[in-house]
Amino acid sequence: MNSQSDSHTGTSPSSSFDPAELLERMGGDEEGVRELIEIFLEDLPAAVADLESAGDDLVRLAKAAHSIKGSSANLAAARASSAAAAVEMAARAGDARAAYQERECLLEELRVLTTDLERARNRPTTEPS
Amino acid sequence: MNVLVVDDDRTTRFLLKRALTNDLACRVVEAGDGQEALKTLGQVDVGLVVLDVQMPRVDGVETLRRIRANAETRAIPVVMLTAERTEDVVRQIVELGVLDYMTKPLTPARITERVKRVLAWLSAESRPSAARFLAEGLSLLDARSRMLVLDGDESYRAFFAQTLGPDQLVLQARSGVEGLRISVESRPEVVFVGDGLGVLGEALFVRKIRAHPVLQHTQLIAIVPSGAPRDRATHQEGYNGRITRTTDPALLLQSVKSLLRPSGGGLQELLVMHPGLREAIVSGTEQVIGMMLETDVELRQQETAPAADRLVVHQRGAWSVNTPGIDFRLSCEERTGRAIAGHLIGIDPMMVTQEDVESGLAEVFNMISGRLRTALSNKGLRLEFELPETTTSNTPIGGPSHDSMTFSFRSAAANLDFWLTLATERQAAVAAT
Repeated sequence: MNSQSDSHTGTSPSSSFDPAELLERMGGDEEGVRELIEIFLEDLPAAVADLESAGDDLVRLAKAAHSIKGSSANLAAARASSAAAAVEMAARAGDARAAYQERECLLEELRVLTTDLERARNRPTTEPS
Repeated sequence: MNVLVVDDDRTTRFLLKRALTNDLACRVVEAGDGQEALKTLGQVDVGLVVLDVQMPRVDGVETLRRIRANAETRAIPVVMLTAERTEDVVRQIVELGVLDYMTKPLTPARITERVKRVLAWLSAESRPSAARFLAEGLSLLDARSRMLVLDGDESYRAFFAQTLGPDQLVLQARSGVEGLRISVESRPEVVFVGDGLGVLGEALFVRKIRAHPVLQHTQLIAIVPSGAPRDRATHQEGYNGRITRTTDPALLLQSVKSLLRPSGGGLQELLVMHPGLREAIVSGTEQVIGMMLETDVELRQQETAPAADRLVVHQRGAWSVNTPGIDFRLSCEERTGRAIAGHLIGIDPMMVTQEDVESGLAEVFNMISGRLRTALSNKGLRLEFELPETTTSNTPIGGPSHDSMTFSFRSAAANLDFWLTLATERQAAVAAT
């Protein structure tokens, strides 16, 4: 899914999210995009706290990751979404070591995503050429 | 209509609310979990619930269970919002009964498309059963068909409309000019053409409809006087069929019903006699496979067939709805079978064995049957089904004159196709000999 959108929007695969894809999904409604980003950023700290506070509880970790998987997919943030899917899968499989490793990747991904979204919030159609 | 949107994720609620409000003119009430949703259902008159599966406190499956267990909320249609491929969860959802499902991530366009479909089903569901019976029976039309009766005799029009359905379903026009205007404005799917139509007479009306770029595919049925030569109307260009003019309600119904069986088949009749059976089969199949594969699955408008050069897996069994049996076959290409089995077991499709494919498809079919049993028992019908068996042989079900029907499904996103073929037990028995 990611590679497909990357190829048709010309966005680098290394982007944390795809602003052009997001705008297209929202039918060109820039205000809607901005509002969606705003909601995501407001709720993200609580979601991150859930991830971090899950401790040894793999069920809680899987649920926290599942939630981030869905919301980041709504923002066309494919990398965060697939990182969250990896945490969820490892946690559900009971593989604690892999789950914690994947969690670190996800947290790093979310930090990058936050920065990019904050930047895009002011200019959601940004498409650096 | 009030729509209750239940999801703990605010971005999802935002997308749903935006599409439902802007594109579909619904009023949206939100809830962040099942507990809040159940409380809201006790306070607000809700016409549709969009429900997420995984939520804190009371999850989606438990919420659905409580909605179905409460006499006040039992009948509320629910659309499940899911990123769920766990067999047990899918099984519970389909057996409790949902009208449709949507997969994440959501986009406004997909929400609008899916909910539009749901709203159309709901308006068809709310029709009196006689009208639905007819609408479903007119096999070339869908269940939301509008009819127009065109005749110069006011009392005949009133009798016709009253016999076939409520006024809003059967439109009326007294002249050819009025008939054309209503056809353009309301686009009826079927027009019954009588006589006494004034300056724009019967033949001219038909020609104008057939020449119209939008209306040309309208079904046109001639109303001919009893005793008229059989070819009186049908020899004219442009009619799809004819009925006899009568003022006896039973005869009119019978006459219209005779149009309902273009192929004269027992299966067609079975589906007509049990309104909702076709919908239950189609939506059950869409839901089970769609939720399993985590993708949108839809019925194709046009029937297709599996590519001849690809190995096809068939799942075969029988359903009995009250009386005669329906022989069914679920077919898919091998790679689709692998994808389904891979999801069910939770392994890469490349690791899936033939045995896994067979048991996976059998499981899927049992789930569809379970869903069908719930849907039909709400309508007072009893479904029994035999344990299905899987084969790779493509022996047609039914003989040369077999009475069968194939539904083609497709998941565009996953690029997977599958087919559901139904045949009456009578033909299946013939084929077996």
